[in-house]
Amino acid sequence: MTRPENEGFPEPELTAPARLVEDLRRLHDRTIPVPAATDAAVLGPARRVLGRRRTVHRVRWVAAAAAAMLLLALSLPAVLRRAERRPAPDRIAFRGDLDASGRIDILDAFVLARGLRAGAAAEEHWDVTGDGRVDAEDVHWIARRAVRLDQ
Amino acid sequence: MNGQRLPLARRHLRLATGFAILLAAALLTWAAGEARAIPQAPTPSLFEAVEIHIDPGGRPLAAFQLEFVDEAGTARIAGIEGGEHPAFARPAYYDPAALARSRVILAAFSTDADLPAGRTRVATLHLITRQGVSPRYRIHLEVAADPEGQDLRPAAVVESIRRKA
Amino acid sequence: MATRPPPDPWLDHRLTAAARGGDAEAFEQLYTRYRDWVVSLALRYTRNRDDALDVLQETFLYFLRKLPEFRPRAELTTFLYPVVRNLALTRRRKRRPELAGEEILIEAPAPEPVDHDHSRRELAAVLRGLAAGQHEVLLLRFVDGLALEEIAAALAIPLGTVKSRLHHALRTLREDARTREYFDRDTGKTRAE
Repeated sequence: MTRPENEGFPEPELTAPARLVEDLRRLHDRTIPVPAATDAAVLGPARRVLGRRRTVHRVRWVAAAAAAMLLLALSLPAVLRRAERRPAPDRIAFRGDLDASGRIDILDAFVLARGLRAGAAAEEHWDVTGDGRVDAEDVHWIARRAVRLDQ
Repeated sequence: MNGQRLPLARRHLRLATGFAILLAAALLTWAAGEARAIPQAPTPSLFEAVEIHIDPGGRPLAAFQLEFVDEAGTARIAGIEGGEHPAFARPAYYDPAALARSRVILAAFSTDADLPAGRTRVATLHLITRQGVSPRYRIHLEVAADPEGQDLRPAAVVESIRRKA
Repeated sequence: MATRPPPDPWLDHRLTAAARGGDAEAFEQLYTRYRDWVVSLALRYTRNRDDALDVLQETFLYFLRKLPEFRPRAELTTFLYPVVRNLALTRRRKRRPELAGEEILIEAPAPEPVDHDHSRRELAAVLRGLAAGQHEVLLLRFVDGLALEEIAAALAIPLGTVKSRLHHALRTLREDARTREYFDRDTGKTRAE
Protein backbone atom coordinates (compact mmCIF):
# COMPACT_ATOMS: atom_id res chain seq x y z
CA MET A 1 0.00 0.00 0.00
CA THR A 2 1.38 3.41 -0.91
CA ARG A 3 1.62 6.15 1.66
CA PRO A 4 -1.12 8.77 1.28
CA GLU A 5 0.21 12.04 -0.09
CA ASN A 6 -1.25 14.10 2.70
CA GLU A 7 0.97 12.82 5.45
CA GLY A 8 4.37 13.59 6.85
CA PHE A 9 5.12 17.17 5.78
CA PRO A 10 5.24 19.39 8.83
CA GLU A 11 4.76 23.11 8.11
CA PRO A 12 8.34 24.22 8.94
CA GLU A 13 9.62 22.03 6.10
CA LEU A 14 7.42 23.90 3.69
CA THR A 15 9.02 27.29 4.26
CA ALA A 16 11.70 28.84 2.10
CA PRO A 17 14.67 31.09 2.86
CA ALA A 18 13.95 34.79 2.42
CA ARG A 19 16.52 35.17 -0.37
CA LEU A 20 15.05 32.30 -2.34
CA VAL A 21 11.57 33.83 -2.08
CA GLU A 22 12.96 37.17 -3.21
CA ASP A 23 14.69 35.64 -6.23
CA LEU A 24 11.62 33.59 -7.15
CA ARG A 25 9.62 36.80 -7.14
CA ARG A 26 12.24 38.60 -9.20
CA LEU A 27 12.16 35.82 -11.77
CA HIS A 28 8.42 35.42 -12.01
CA ASP A 29 6.59 38.37 -10.59
CA ARG A 30 6.62 40.63 -13.62
CA THR A 31 3.77 42.75 -14.75
CA ILE A 32 2.87 45.18 -17.49
CA PRO A 33 1.00 48.48 -17.34
CA VAL A 34 -2.66 47.98 -18.12
CA PRO A 35 -3.82 50.49 -20.71
CA ALA A 36 -6.93 52.55 -20.06
CA ALA A 37 -8.59 50.85 -23.04
CA THR A 38 -8.42 47.46 -21.27
CA ASP A 39 -9.86 48.99 -18.08
CA ALA A 40 -12.66 50.48 -20.16
CA ALA A 41 -13.28 47.16 -21.95
CA VAL A 42 -13.96 45.54 -18.58
CA LEU A 43 -15.57 48.35 -16.63
CA GLY A 44 -17.80 49.61 -19.44
CA PRO A 45 -19.77 46.35 -19.81
CA ALA A 46 -19.73 45.93 -16.02
CA ARG A 47 -21.43 49.28 -15.54
CA ARG A 48 -24.05 48.50 -18.15
CA VAL A 49 -24.80 44.98 -16.87
CA LEU A 50 -24.73 45.89 -13.20
CA GLY A 51 -26.74 49.05 -13.80
CA ARG A 52 -29.56 46.93 -15.24
CA ARG A 53 -29.25 44.44 -12.41
CA ARG A 54 -29.44 47.25 -9.87
CA THR A 55 -32.73 48.40 -11.34
CA VAL A 56 -34.21 44.91 -10.95
CA HIS A 57 -32.88 44.71 -7.41
CA ARG A 58 -34.35 48.08 -6.49
CA VAL A 59 -37.76 47.10 -7.79
CA ARG A 60 -37.60 43.91 -5.73
CA TRP A 61 -36.55 45.88 -2.68
CA VAL A 62 -39.36 48.37 -3.12
CA ALA A 63 -41.85 45.52 -3.34
CA ALA A 64 -40.36 43.80 -0.30
CA ALA A 65 -40.29 47.04 1.67
CA ALA A 66 -43.92 47.72 0.81
CA ALA A 67 -44.87 44.24 1.97
CA ALA A 68 -42.86 44.66 5.17
CA MET A 69 -44.48 48.02 5.90
CA LEU A 70 -47.89 46.53 5.40
CA LEU A 71 -47.01 43.72 7.78
CA LEU A 72 -45.64 46.21 10.30
CA ALA A 73 -48.74 48.34 10.10
CA LEU A 74 -50.90 45.29 10.74
CA SER A 75 -48.82 44.07 13.69
CA LEU A 76 -47.98 47.46 15.26
CA PRO A 77 -50.89 47.60 17.72
CA ALA A 78 -49.93 44.21 19.19
CA VAL A 79 -46.25 45.21 19.45
CA LEU A 80 -47.12 48.46 21.21
CA ARG A 81 -49.33 46.63 23.70
CA ARG A 82 -46.43 44.25 24.54
CA ALA A 83 -43.94 47.11 24.90
CA GLU A 84 -46.18 48.82 27.42
CA ARG A 85 -46.13 45.73 29.63
CA ARG A 86 -42.27 45.44 29.60
CA PRO A 87 -40.40 47.32 32.40
CA ALA A 88 -37.96 49.98 31.19
CA PRO A 89 -34.27 49.22 31.77
CA ASP A 90 -32.89 51.45 34.51
CA ARG A 91 -29.20 50.54 34.51
CA ILE A 92 -28.21 51.29 30.97
CA ALA A 93 -29.05 54.05 28.56
CA PHE A 94 -29.52 51.61 25.67
CA ARG A 95 -28.48 48.18 24.51
CA GLY A 96 -24.71 47.88 24.23
CA ASP A 97 -23.86 50.98 26.23
CA LEU A 98 -22.35 48.93 29.06
CA ASP A 99 -20.38 51.76 30.65
CA ALA A 100 -23.43 54.07 30.56
CA SER A 101 -21.48 56.75 28.72
CA GLY A 102 -24.43 57.62 26.53
CA ARG A 103 -22.89 56.15 23.38
CA ILE A 104 -21.63 52.80 22.13
CA ASP A 105 -17.93 52.73 21.47
CA ILE A 106 -15.10 50.24 21.59
CA LEU A 107 -14.76 50.75 25.36
CA ASP A 108 -18.10 48.99 25.85
CA ALA A 109 -16.78 45.95 23.97
CA PHE A 110 -13.53 46.21 25.91
CA VAL A 111 -15.37 46.31 29.26
CA LEU A 112 -17.26 43.17 28.34
CA ALA A 113 -14.20 41.34 26.96
CA ARG A 114 -12.25 42.18 30.10
CA GLY A 115 -15.13 40.94 32.27
CA LEU A 116 -15.38 37.69 30.33
CA ARG A 117 -11.65 37.14 30.48
CA ALA A 118 -11.62 37.76 34.23
CA GLY A 119 -14.49 35.29 34.64
CA ALA A 120 -16.75 37.92 36.16
CA ALA A 121 -20.36 36.96 36.79
CA ALA A 122 -22.39 37.89 33.73
CA GLU A 123 -24.84 40.73 34.16
CA GLU A 124 -28.17 40.60 32.41
CA HIS A 125 -27.55 43.65 30.22
CA TRP A 126 -24.32 42.11 28.90
CA ASP A 127 -26.40 39.75 26.75
CA VAL A 128 -26.75 42.29 23.98
CA THR A 129 -27.49 39.71 21.30
CA GLY A 130 -30.41 38.42 23.34
CA ASP A 131 -29.52 34.78 22.79
CA GLY A 132 -29.52 33.94 26.50
CA ARG A 133 -25.72 33.68 26.68
CA VAL A 134 -22.94 36.15 27.38
CA ASP A 135 -19.96 35.33 25.19
CA ALA A 136 -17.65 36.61 22.47
CA GLU A 137 -20.64 37.12 20.18
CA ASP A 138 -21.83 39.91 22.48
CA VAL A 139 -18.37 41.52 22.36
CA HIS A 140 -18.37 41.39 18.55
CA TRP A 141 -21.90 42.77 18.40
CA ILE A 142 -20.91 45.83 20.43
CA ALA A 143 -17.65 46.35 18.52
CA ARG A 144 -19.44 46.16 15.19
CA ARG A 145 -22.11 48.54 16.48
CA ALA A 146 -19.38 50.96 17.62
CA VAL A 147 -17.93 51.31 14.12
CA ARG A 148 -21.20 51.63 12.28
CA LEU A 149 -21.26 54.69 10.06
CA ASP A 150 -24.98 55.36 10.30
CA GLN A 151 -25.06 55.98 14.05
CA MET B 1 -71.58 66.23 -11.21
CA ASN B 2 -74.98 64.76 -11.06
CA GLY B 3 -74.68 63.73 -7.39
CA GLN B 4 -74.71 60.04 -8.28
CA ARG B 5 -72.19 57.79 -6.53
CA LEU B 6 -69.78 55.99 -8.83
CA PRO B 7 -70.05 52.19 -8.86
CA LEU B 8 -67.57 50.49 -6.49
CA ALA B 9 -65.60 48.80 -9.30
CA ARG B 10 -65.04 52.13 -11.09
CA ARG B 11 -63.88 53.86 -7.91
CA HIS B 12 -61.37 51.06 -7.34
CA LEU B 13 -60.18 51.33 -10.93
CA ARG B 14 -59.59 55.08 -10.52
CA LEU B 15 -57.69 54.54 -7.28
CA ALA B 16 -55.53 51.83 -8.86
CA THR B 17 -54.83 54.03 -11.92
CA GLY B 18 -53.79 56.94 -9.69
CA PHE B 19 -51.52 54.69 -7.67
CA ALA B 20 -49.96 53.22 -10.82
CA ILE B 21 -49.27 56.72 -12.21
CA LEU B 22 -47.62 57.78 -8.94
CA LEU B 23 -45.53 54.60 -8.86
CA ALA B 24 -44.46 55.04 -12.48
CA ALA B 25 -43.48 58.67 -11.84
CA ALA B 26 -41.42 57.65 -8.79
CA LEU B 27 -39.67 54.89 -10.74
CA LEU B 28 -38.93 57.21 -13.66
CA THR B 29 -37.45 59.86 -11.33
CA TRP B 30 -35.32 57.25 -9.64
CA ALA B 31 -34.19 55.70 -12.93
CA ALA B 32 -33.18 59.11 -14.29
CA GLY B 33 -31.10 59.72 -11.15
CA GLU B 34 -29.55 56.28 -11.53
CA ALA B 35 -28.58 56.96 -15.14
CA ARG B 36 -26.89 60.19 -14.09
CA ALA B 37 -25.08 58.43 -11.25
CA ILE B 38 -23.35 55.91 -13.55
CA PRO B 39 -20.26 57.54 -14.99
CA GLN B 40 -19.67 56.75 -18.64
CA ALA B 41 -15.88 56.90 -18.91
CA PRO B 42 -13.74 55.03 -16.39
CA THR B 43 -11.12 57.14 -14.67
CA PRO B 44 -7.74 55.51 -14.03
CA SER B 45 -7.40 54.42 -10.41
CA LEU B 46 -4.33 54.32 -8.20
CA PHE B 47 -3.55 52.48 -5.01
CA GLU B 48 -2.36 54.35 -1.96
CA ALA B 49 -1.66 53.10 1.54
CA VAL B 50 -2.08 55.16 4.69
CA GLU B 51 -0.39 53.95 7.84
CA ILE B 52 -2.06 55.06 11.06
CA HIS B 53 0.14 55.37 14.13
CA ILE B 54 -0.83 56.07 17.73
CA ASP B 55 1.61 57.22 20.36
CA PRO B 56 -0.08 56.59 23.73
CA GLY B 57 2.49 58.72 25.52
CA GLY B 58 4.27 56.02 27.52
CA ARG B 59 1.19 54.26 28.91
CA PRO B 60 -0.04 50.91 27.56
CA LEU B 61 -2.61 51.22 24.82
CA ALA B 62 -5.44 48.68 25.28
CA ALA B 63 -8.20 50.13 23.11
CA PHE B 64 -8.63 52.73 20.42
CA GLN B 65 -11.32 54.02 18.14
CA LEU B 66 -10.73 56.56 15.40
CA GLU B 67 -12.49 58.09 12.48
CA PHE B 68 -10.71 58.35 9.15
CA VAL B 69 -12.19 60.45 6.39
CA ASP B 70 -11.15 61.76 3.01
CA GLU B 71 -12.70 65.20 3.05
CA ALA B 72 -12.28 65.46 -0.71
CA GLY B 73 -14.56 62.43 -0.98
CA THR B 74 -12.59 60.81 -3.79
CA ALA B 75 -10.69 57.95 -2.12
CA ARG B 76 -12.31 54.54 -1.69
CA ILE B 77 -11.21 52.06 0.93
CA ALA B 78 -9.98 48.82 -0.62
CA GLY B 79 -8.53 46.99 2.35
CA ILE B 80 -7.58 47.28 5.99
CA GLU B 81 -4.53 45.68 7.56
CA GLY B 82 -3.82 45.15 11.23
CA GLY B 83 -1.12 46.85 13.24
CA GLU B 84 2.50 46.03 13.94
CA HIS B 85 2.20 45.10 17.63
CA PRO B 86 0.87 41.56 18.29
CA ALA B 87 -1.89 43.02 20.47
CA PHE B 88 -3.29 44.86 17.43
CA ALA B 89 -2.09 42.56 14.66
CA ARG B 90 -5.60 41.60 13.58
CA PRO B 91 -7.43 44.14 11.40
CA ALA B 92 -9.55 46.56 13.43
CA TYR B 93 -13.34 46.44 13.42
CA TYR B 94 -14.92 48.54 10.68
CA ASP B 95 -18.27 48.92 8.97
CA PRO B 96 -18.30 47.20 5.55
CA ALA B 97 -20.48 50.05 4.35
CA ALA B 98 -17.34 52.18 4.54
CA LEU B 99 -16.12 50.47 1.39
CA ALA B 100 -18.50 52.46 -0.72
CA ARG B 101 -17.59 55.71 1.01
CA SER B 102 -14.61 57.85 1.91
CA ARG B 103 -15.07 57.51 5.64
CA VAL B 104 -14.45 54.71 8.08
CA ILE B 105 -14.44 54.19 11.84
CA LEU B 106 -11.72 51.82 13.03
CA ALA B 107 -11.77 50.31 16.50
CA ALA B 108 -9.81 47.60 18.27
CA PHE B 109 -8.95 46.47 21.76
CA SER B 110 -6.71 43.92 23.39
CA THR B 111 -6.92 42.16 26.73
CA ASP B 112 -3.34 40.91 26.37
CA ALA B 113 -0.79 41.70 29.07
CA ASP B 114 1.77 42.82 26.49
CA LEU B 115 0.60 46.14 25.08
CA PRO B 116 2.38 48.90 23.15
CA ALA B 117 3.33 51.93 25.23
CA GLY B 118 5.27 53.78 22.55
CA ARG B 119 4.41 54.92 19.06
CA THR B 120 2.91 51.99 17.16
CA ARG B 121 1.25 51.41 13.80
CA VAL B 122 -2.29 50.30 14.58
CA ALA B 123 -3.63 49.94 11.04
CA THR B 124 -2.86 50.40 7.38
CA LEU B 125 -5.62 51.51 5.05
CA HIS B 126 -5.38 50.61 1.39
CA LEU B 127 -7.18 53.20 -0.68
CA ILE B 128 -8.13 53.59 -4.30
CA THR B 129 -7.63 57.14 -5.39
CA ARG B 130 -8.37 58.86 -8.68
CA GLN B 131 -5.58 60.04 -10.89
CA GLY B 132 -5.23 63.79 -10.78
CA VAL B 133 -7.39 64.26 -7.67
CA SER B 134 -5.70 64.84 -4.31
CA PRO B 135 -7.44 63.30 -1.32
CA ARG B 136 -7.58 65.27 1.95
CA TYR B 137 -7.28 62.82 4.81
CA ARG B 138 -8.34 63.65 8.37
CA ILE B 139 -8.12 61.40 11.43
CA HIS B 140 -9.94 61.94 14.69
CA LEU B 141 -8.99 59.83 17.69
CA GLU B 142 -12.27 59.12 19.47
CA VAL B 143 -11.05 56.61 22.04
CA ALA B 144 -7.64 55.71 23.42
CA ALA B 145 -7.64 53.80 26.68
CA ASP B 146 -5.29 51.87 28.93
CA PRO B 147 -6.08 48.39 30.36
CA GLU B 148 -8.17 50.00 33.11
CA GLY B 149 -10.25 51.86 30.57
CA GLN B 150 -8.66 55.19 31.50
CA ASP B 151 -8.68 57.83 28.78
CA LEU B 152 -5.21 58.32 27.28
CA ARG B 153 -6.21 60.97 24.81
CA PRO B 154 -4.77 64.00 26.53
CA ALA B 155 -1.32 62.49 25.93
CA ALA B 156 -2.01 60.22 22.97
CA VAL B 157 -1.14 61.35 19.47
CA VAL B 158 -2.48 59.93 16.21
CA GLU B 159 -0.75 60.47 12.90
CA SER B 160 -0.78 59.09 9.40
CA ILE B 161 1.88 58.35 6.82
CA ARG B 162 0.96 58.17 3.13
CA ARG B 163 2.80 55.96 0.76
CA LYS B 164 2.18 54.64 -2.73
CA ALA B 165 1.05 51.04 -2.56
CA MET C 1 6.23 43.66 -8.79
CA ALA C 2 2.55 42.69 -8.77
CA THR C 3 2.07 40.45 -5.80
CA ARG C 4 -1.37 39.45 -4.79
CA PRO C 5 -3.32 42.22 -2.98
CA PRO C 6 -3.51 42.10 0.82
CA PRO C 7 -5.85 39.20 1.65
CA ASP C 8 -9.16 40.38 3.05
CA PRO C 9 -11.90 37.78 2.59
CA TRP C 10 -14.42 39.95 4.39
CA LEU C 11 -13.78 42.82 2.00
CA ASP C 12 -14.02 40.53 -1.03
CA HIS C 13 -17.22 39.04 0.31
CA ARG C 14 -18.80 42.44 0.83
CA LEU C 15 -17.66 43.78 -2.53
CA THR C 16 -18.86 40.67 -4.32
CA ALA C 17 -22.23 40.84 -2.60
CA ALA C 18 -22.54 44.53 -3.49
CA ALA C 19 -21.57 43.87 -7.11
CA ARG C 20 -24.08 41.03 -7.28
CA GLY C 21 -26.71 43.53 -6.18
CA GLY C 22 -25.76 45.80 -9.10
CA ASP C 23 -23.11 48.02 -7.51
CA ALA C 24 -20.75 48.81 -10.39
CA GLU C 25 -18.36 50.66 -8.09
CA ALA C 26 -17.91 47.53 -5.96
CA PHE C 27 -17.04 45.59 -9.10
CA GLU C 28 -14.55 48.29 -10.03
CA GLN C 29 -12.94 47.99 -6.59
CA LEU C 30 -12.60 44.23 -7.06
CA TYR C 31 -11.13 44.81 -10.50
CA THR C 32 -8.65 47.36 -9.17
CA ARG C 33 -7.74 45.07 -6.28
CA TYR C 34 -6.94 42.07 -8.47
CA ARG C 35 -6.08 43.57 -11.88
CA ASP C 36 -2.29 43.71 -11.51
CA TRP C 37 -2.10 40.26 -9.98
CA VAL C 38 -4.25 38.75 -12.73
CA VAL C 39 -2.26 40.38 -15.51
CA SER C 40 1.07 39.27 -14.02
CA LEU C 41 -0.28 35.73 -13.71
CA ALA C 42 -1.54 35.83 -17.29
CA LEU C 43 1.83 37.11 -18.45
CA ARG C 44 3.55 34.26 -16.63
CA TYR C 45 1.53 31.72 -18.61
CA THR C 46 1.17 33.44 -21.99
CA ARG C 47 4.55 35.25 -22.10
CA ASN C 48 2.89 37.68 -24.46
CA ARG C 49 1.77 41.17 -23.54
CA ASP C 50 -1.29 41.32 -25.79
CA ASP C 51 -2.44 37.85 -24.80
CA ALA C 52 -2.01 38.72 -21.12
CA LEU C 53 -4.18 41.82 -21.52
CA ASP C 54 -6.81 39.79 -23.39
CA VAL C 55 -6.78 37.20 -20.61
CA LEU C 56 -7.22 39.95 -18.03
CA GLN C 57 -10.26 41.24 -19.91
CA GLU C 58 -11.76 37.80 -20.47
CA THR C 59 -11.21 36.81 -16.82
CA PHE C 60 -13.17 39.75 -15.46
CA LEU C 61 -15.90 39.48 -18.07
CA TYR C 62 -16.25 35.81 -17.12
CA PHE C 63 -16.40 36.84 -13.45
CA LEU C 64 -19.07 39.40 -14.36
CA ARG C 65 -21.14 36.70 -16.08
CA LYS C 66 -20.72 34.37 -13.10
CA LEU C 67 -21.58 37.00 -10.52
CA PRO C 68 -25.30 36.20 -10.16
CA GLU C 69 -24.58 32.67 -8.93
CA PHE C 70 -21.15 33.39 -7.45
CA ARG C 71 -20.91 32.62 -3.71
CA PRO C 72 -17.35 33.11 -2.42
CA ARG C 73 -16.35 30.31 -0.08
CA ALA C 74 -12.72 31.31 0.15
CA GLU C 75 -10.34 33.95 -1.15
CA LEU C 76 -11.25 35.35 -4.55
CA THR C 77 -7.80 34.28 -5.74
CA THR C 78 -8.94 30.66 -5.61
CA PHE C 79 -11.73 31.50 -8.04
CA LEU C 80 -9.64 33.71 -10.32
CA TYR C 81 -6.52 31.56 -10.51
CA PRO C 82 -7.98 28.59 -12.47
CA VAL C 83 -9.85 30.98 -14.76
CA VAL C 84 -6.68 32.92 -15.60
CA ARG C 85 -4.70 29.72 -16.00
CA ASN C 86 -7.21 28.07 -18.34
CA LEU C 87 -7.73 31.17 -20.46
CA ALA C 88 -3.99 31.77 -20.68
CA LEU C 89 -3.19 28.20 -21.64
CA THR C 90 -5.95 28.20 -24.26
CA ARG C 91 -4.40 31.31 -25.81
CA ARG C 92 -0.98 29.79 -25.75
CA ARG C 93 -2.26 26.62 -27.37
CA LYS C 94 -3.74 28.74 -30.16
CA ARG C 95 -0.37 30.38 -30.74
CA ARG C 96 1.57 27.12 -30.55
CA PRO C 97 -0.79 24.34 -31.62
CA GLU C 98 2.10 21.90 -31.91
CA LEU C 99 2.36 21.71 -28.10
CA ALA C 100 0.19 19.32 -26.15
CA GLY C 101 -1.50 20.44 -22.94
CA GLU C 102 1.04 19.11 -20.48
CA GLU C 103 3.99 20.44 -22.46
CA ILE C 104 2.47 23.89 -22.35
CA LEU C 105 1.97 23.62 -18.62
CA ILE C 106 5.57 22.62 -18.12
CA GLU C 107 6.89 25.32 -20.35
CA ALA C 108 4.56 28.16 -19.58
CA PRO C 109 5.51 29.21 -16.05
CA ALA C 110 9.24 29.33 -16.86
CA PRO C 111 10.93 32.67 -16.20
CA GLU C 112 12.70 34.90 -18.66
CA PRO C 113 15.89 33.21 -19.82
CA VAL C 114 18.02 36.34 -19.52
CA ASP C 115 19.01 37.35 -16.01
CA HIS C 116 22.26 39.00 -15.14
CA ASP C 117 22.38 37.64 -11.63
CA HIS C 118 24.29 34.35 -11.55
CA SER C 119 22.39 32.68 -8.72
CA ARG C 120 19.06 33.63 -10.27
CA ARG C 121 20.17 32.11 -13.58
CA GLU C 122 21.05 28.91 -11.74
CA LEU C 123 17.74 29.02 -9.89
CA ALA C 124 15.88 29.41 -13.18
CA ALA C 125 17.72 26.37 -14.58
CA VAL C 126 16.79 24.23 -11.59
CA LEU C 127 13.18 25.41 -11.76
CA ARG C 128 13.01 24.29 -15.39
CA GLY C 129 13.86 20.79 -14.22
CA LEU C 130 11.03 20.61 -11.70
CA ALA C 131 7.86 18.70 -12.48
CA ALA C 132 5.15 21.06 -13.75
CA GLY C 133 2.91 20.50 -10.75
CA GLN C 134 5.72 21.13 -8.25
CA HIS C 135 6.81 24.26 -10.09
CA GLU C 136 3.30 25.64 -10.14
CA VAL C 137 2.71 25.03 -6.43
CA LEU C 138 6.07 26.58 -5.58
CA LEU C 139 5.19 29.78 -7.43
CA LEU C 140 1.68 29.97 -6.03
CA ARG C 141 3.09 29.66 -2.53
CA PHE C 142 6.10 31.95 -2.64
CA VAL C 143 5.47 34.34 -5.52
CA ASP C 144 1.71 34.77 -5.18
CA GLY C 145 1.62 34.20 -1.42
CA LEU C 146 -1.33 31.82 -1.43
CA ALA C 147 -1.91 29.71 1.67
CA LEU C 148 -1.65 25.95 1.24
CA GLU C 149 -5.42 25.57 1.57
CA GLU C 150 -5.97 28.25 -1.07
CA ILE C 151 -3.63 26.48 -3.48
CA ALA C 152 -5.53 23.24 -2.94
CA ALA C 153 -8.80 25.03 -3.70
CA ALA C 154 -7.38 26.90 -6.71
CA LEU C 155 -5.97 23.77 -8.31
CA ALA C 156 -8.81 21.51 -7.10
CA ILE C 157 -6.36 19.02 -5.59
CA PRO C 158 -6.13 17.63 -2.04
CA LEU C 159 -4.19 19.63 0.56
CA GLY C 160 -1.88 16.67 1.02
CA THR C 161 -0.93 16.79 -2.65
CA VAL C 162 -0.08 20.49 -2.33
CA LYS C 163 2.15 19.77 0.67
CA SER C 164 3.76 16.85 -1.10
CA ARG C 165 4.53 18.85 -4.26
CA LEU C 166 5.90 21.76 -2.27
CA HIS C 167 7.99 19.46 -0.13
CA HIS C 168 9.53 17.78 -3.18
CA ALA C 169 10.15 21.09 -4.96
CA LEU C 170 11.94 22.51 -1.91
CA ARG C 171 13.91 19.30 -1.44
CA THR C 172 15.08 19.48 -5.06
CA LEU C 173 16.22 23.07 -4.56
CA ARG C 174 17.88 22.19 -1.26
CA GLU C 175 19.77 19.23 -2.71
CA ASP C 176 20.76 20.66 -6.07
CA ALA C 177 24.31 22.04 -5.97
CA ARG C 178 23.27 25.07 -8.02
CA THR C 179 20.67 26.25 -5.48
CA ARG C 180 21.94 24.74 -2.22
CA GLU C 181 23.55 28.02 -1.19
CA TYR C 182 20.11 29.59 -0.66
CA PHE C 183 19.60 27.16 2.21
CA ASP C 184 23.18 27.22 3.50
CA ARG C 185 23.22 30.98 3.76
CA ASP C 186 19.77 31.20 5.25
CA THR C 187 19.75 32.81 8.66
CA GLY C 188 16.04 32.76 9.18
CA LYS C 189 13.07 31.09 7.59
CA THR C 190 10.48 33.17 5.93
CA ARG C 191 6.82 32.73 5.53
CA ALA C 192 5.10 33.56 2.27
CA GLU C 193 2.56 35.88 3.88
